[in-house]
Amino acid sequence: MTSKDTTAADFTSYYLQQSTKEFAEDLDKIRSADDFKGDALPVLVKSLQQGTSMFSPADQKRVVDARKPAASSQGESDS
Amino acid sequence: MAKRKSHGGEGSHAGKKQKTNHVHEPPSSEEVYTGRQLHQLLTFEQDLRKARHGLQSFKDLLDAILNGDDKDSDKLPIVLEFLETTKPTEVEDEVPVYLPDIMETWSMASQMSNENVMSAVAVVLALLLKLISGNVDLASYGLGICRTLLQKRQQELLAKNLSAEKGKDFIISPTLRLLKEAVCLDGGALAAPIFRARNNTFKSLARNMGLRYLGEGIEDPKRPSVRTNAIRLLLGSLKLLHNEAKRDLLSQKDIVAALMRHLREDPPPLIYEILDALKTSVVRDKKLPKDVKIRILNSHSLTRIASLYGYSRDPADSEEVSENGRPSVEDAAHEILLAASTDPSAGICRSQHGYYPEGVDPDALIAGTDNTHSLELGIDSIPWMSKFEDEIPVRNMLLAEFIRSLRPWSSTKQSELLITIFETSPELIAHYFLHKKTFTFDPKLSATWMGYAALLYNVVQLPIPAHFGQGNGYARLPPPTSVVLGNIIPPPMTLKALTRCLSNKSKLVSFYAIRMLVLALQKLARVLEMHREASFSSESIWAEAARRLLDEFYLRIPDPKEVITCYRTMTDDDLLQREAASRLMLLYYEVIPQLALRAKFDVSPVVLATIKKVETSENAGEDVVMSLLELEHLCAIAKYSPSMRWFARTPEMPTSPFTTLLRLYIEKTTALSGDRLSNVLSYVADEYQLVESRPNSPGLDPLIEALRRVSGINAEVWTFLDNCVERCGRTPTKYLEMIEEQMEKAGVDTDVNTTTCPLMMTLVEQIPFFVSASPGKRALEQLVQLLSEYLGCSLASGINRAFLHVTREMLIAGIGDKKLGGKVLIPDRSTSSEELPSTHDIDATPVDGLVDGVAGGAAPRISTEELEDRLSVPIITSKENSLLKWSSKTPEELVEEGYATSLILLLSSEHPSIRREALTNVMKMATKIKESAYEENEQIWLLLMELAESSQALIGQAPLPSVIVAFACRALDVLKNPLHCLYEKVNVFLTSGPVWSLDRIPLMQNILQEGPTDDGTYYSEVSWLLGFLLDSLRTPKDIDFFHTRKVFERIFALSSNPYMGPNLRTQVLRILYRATSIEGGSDTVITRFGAVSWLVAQKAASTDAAQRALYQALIRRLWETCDQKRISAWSKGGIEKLIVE
Repeated sequence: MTSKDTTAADFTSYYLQQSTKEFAEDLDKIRSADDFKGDALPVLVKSLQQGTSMFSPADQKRVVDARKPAASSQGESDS
Repeated sequence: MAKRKSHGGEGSHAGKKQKTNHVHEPPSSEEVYTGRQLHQLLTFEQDLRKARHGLQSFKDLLDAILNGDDKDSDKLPIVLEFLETTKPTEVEDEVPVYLPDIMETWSMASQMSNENVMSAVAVVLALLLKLISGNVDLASYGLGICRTLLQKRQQELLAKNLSAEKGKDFIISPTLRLLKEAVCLDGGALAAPIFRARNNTFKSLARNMGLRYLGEGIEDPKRPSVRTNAIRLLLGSLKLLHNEAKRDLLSQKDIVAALMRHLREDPPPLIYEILDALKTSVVRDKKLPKDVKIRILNSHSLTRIASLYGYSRDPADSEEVSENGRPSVEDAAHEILLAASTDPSAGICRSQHGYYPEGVDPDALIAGTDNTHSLELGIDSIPWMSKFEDEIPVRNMLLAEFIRSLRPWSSTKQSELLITIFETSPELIAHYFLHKKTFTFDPKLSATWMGYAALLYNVVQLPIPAHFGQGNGYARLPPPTSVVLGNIIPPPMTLKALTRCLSNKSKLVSFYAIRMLVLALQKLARVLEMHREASFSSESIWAEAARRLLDEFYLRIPDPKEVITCYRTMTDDDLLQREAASRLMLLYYEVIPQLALRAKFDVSPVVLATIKKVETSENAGEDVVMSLLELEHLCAIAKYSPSMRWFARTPEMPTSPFTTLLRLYIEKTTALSGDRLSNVLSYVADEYQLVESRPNSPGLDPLIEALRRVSGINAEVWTFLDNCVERCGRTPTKYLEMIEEQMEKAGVDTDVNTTTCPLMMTLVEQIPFFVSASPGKRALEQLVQLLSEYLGCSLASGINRAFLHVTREMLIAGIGDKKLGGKVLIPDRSTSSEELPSTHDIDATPVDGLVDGVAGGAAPRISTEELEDRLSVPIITSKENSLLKWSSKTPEELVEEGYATSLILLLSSEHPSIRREALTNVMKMATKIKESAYEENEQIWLLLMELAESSQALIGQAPLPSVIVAFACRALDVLKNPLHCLYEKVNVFLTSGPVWSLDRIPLMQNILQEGPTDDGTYYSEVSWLLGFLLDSLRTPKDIDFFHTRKVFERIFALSSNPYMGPNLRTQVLRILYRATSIEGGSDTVITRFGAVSWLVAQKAASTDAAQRALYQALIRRLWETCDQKRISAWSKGGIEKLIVE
């Protein structure tokens, strides 16, 4: 995987993590909706992460780069 | 009716109308040991029970061989022997009949309606053909048997079997198997004749394909249903028939319909077979005409295949998948649908015209009217422009019908399919939503709504087809407004729905709406840009269309107030939402400012709050960046907001928003942040005249660079800077006047191109107050350091040197303390300034296409290097050690060998000390020459002394203008040669006054307007002048000087003289070339002297191809070296147009 892909993947992961934080309540409601069945979960996840396309690769890298030190220290504490 | 078991060819059945008494008995059989025995068993018998016994024994034998029970391979020879003995002898005029006894038995059974035997014969023959298929040596028997089957009697028997009543699976299935084996035998050798006899051989095929397995659970693969067998016959035929026959076969609508009708109920293996066959024998069959392909891949079929989405009949299927590496049914269906509906060679997807509806010719003359006339009438004169609001004709009707059956909101794959179809056939987008009226987007926190939103997001995100779908260039007429609008903001995104989304109490709903609006505005911006591109090459009807599009768009997009209200409800932790909402608001300002400004949004407090948030943020790194992004958007909005108070201090913050932002920019951003914040800062600095706002001005860059160079700036210094910035922003005129006053006082000539900086004057004015407030020593020292850096960086970026010196003196005076004041220097920062990106350079990307365009044309192309060889003249520089060497030389050597020239050149050195030294030496040299016996001693002395006199005042502050230095050098050349054509003119000039005016070009007037001293020397004089001018052009300041003195105007006018020789013309071009190699030179000659048009005119007037190429290359050079963005904007694209032509 190229560094570009890694950045995009890392940014997507941040974006999803942040969305689940910001919309926790709403997401719970959707999950308990009547029509939440079949393909609904992947559709929901896909739709959430669509928003990453609004960010330019440079901005994505800015966010991911700012995250790196925190992520590595987290990794250390996990181990 | 008793429930029957379908046992395929087993033979034990309880038929509905049994006519014999033996039916209930299972067939008897015996083991076969020899071919002869087999022959006997199968000999035609009137007694059908015996016949059945024989057939059953044969079946057992074949089963044993085919199932691999025949370990010793002693059974195959029995069959071989039997086949050999029953092989018909060839008799002339008689059609050979293979296995005559079996055929006879079959015939009789059929006549007597003995279904057991009818079935048994088919079972045995199918098995036998299967055995033969696997054995190449036996092919001739197989072909013989199949040909026998194709004889009229057997055809009828087959037909009767096939058309047995529903439920007689045990007769129909083996017969279908038999036919399938026959079709596939020997690579399909007899497929065509079998198909030709389709009235019998394919009898009731469609009906049989409908006889699917009705039991519980899944169909047992070992006991395939009639449908499965029928489909295998069909697929086998599809695979092996030639194209003509395939066309006939696929034209059987009932068969195609029957194939697809129950697709979703079929067992996975059968589905794979069907999809595989469709893929290999239809979609990927390049020889099969498209019209045949769409007989089977019609919208009904596609819908049926699409019904396989969500196919989950067999949970074990998915496990099996991973083992086989085979995709799931859903994936297989997805793959074929993608291939079929996006690959033009599959026949479904047809070429289309993007946003132009089918049947519209946007390049055609409008019928019955004079075209230009009708275009003048405007967009409403196009008859079809507003015709497509309720119905849009499309070329891809089939796909249009098919996609309506998809459910993209509930399945990622269906969504992917739909979006891919939209991408390949953009014409379908508007059509789809026009017919999908039930698709409502009223907000509701449900999975379906999320699915809708995801789909709409993808649709808005789709790229706009190149030229709106019209071939290789923009058409004369724009696409219908309604279609374009539908692509930017699809019809389900109604104003009402969007407004309700924004005010929805669910954050997620409003977030989704905001994101979609962001995309819509971005797309609108791109569409408007494309309209502008199109109107560049066409008439203004495109511009009118763009206006109409905007008008319609305004009606569809929520009021910015709604977005602002929504933004205000967000909490500090809603990072993504705040970022998206601020991004959206900024787009409102950028793309549709008319609407945005109506909202009267006071962004000030929000900017302040966000600045504070970023400053005090304790969140993790990525969250800060997210807030910083938000801040960047807000600041960009503030640019547009007249109510923004950039310099107002609030109790919450120590410095004004401008200074705080400046500090944030210095401290928090990285190279990645791009230019957004600095753009805003520069914009404000320009707008409030903290710096001079003109093209050559370095803007805020020197200050930013200086701030970066001084680390850890003290709060007191920031407050001081803030104070100055605020004062300067409030009354810039005061400081501009102050500059003028001080420059005058210092005796510095200023012209339009002298770059200064008002903010510096404020610093000068305020510094005594800072000092008197007795700040800490550290703060004072830091301020001095900062001021030095600021002066140094300013000098490096082109601020007037004299001005900076004046400023420095005043700063020192303001500080009062001599020791500390002495530390205010103007360090040389010229090398490092290039490392930092200038906010002014960022957008200056070269336009490749245009540069290429310039190179076009019939003339041979001159490369950059060639051009340089021909027109570039090195700038004369002084020799080494000129200051010392001259003293040991004789006056002749001084004048004739260039030592004097070299010394004179030092008067324009960058370093004041060298200049002073040089001046002293020039005077000494003058004296030495005067006292010598050198012939021209008086004149040379006069020249040198006048030079010294003229430069004395300036030399301490700035280098002597190049023109004066160059004139002195050139005049020296003239004086040493009394026969020089200009000898008289130079002498007259020298004796006319003791001091030269530094802002004039000596002799230019005399040469160009007074005419030559001697007859016939005009051109020599002009040539001298051009050489002198070339030497005088060395720095950006010289460009400015040439500008003020209108030098280019004069030398360009020279070329109008038709008698002027090519050498003189080349000299003019050399001056122009020199100008292009000096910073800002190209811009000046283009914008002030119409250099491009002049060159174009010269080129047009020239008859020499090489000369034309030279002019063309110089035009290119001008374009390559100018600030293309600025020039393009300045000329409204006209320069490019001129260049391309």
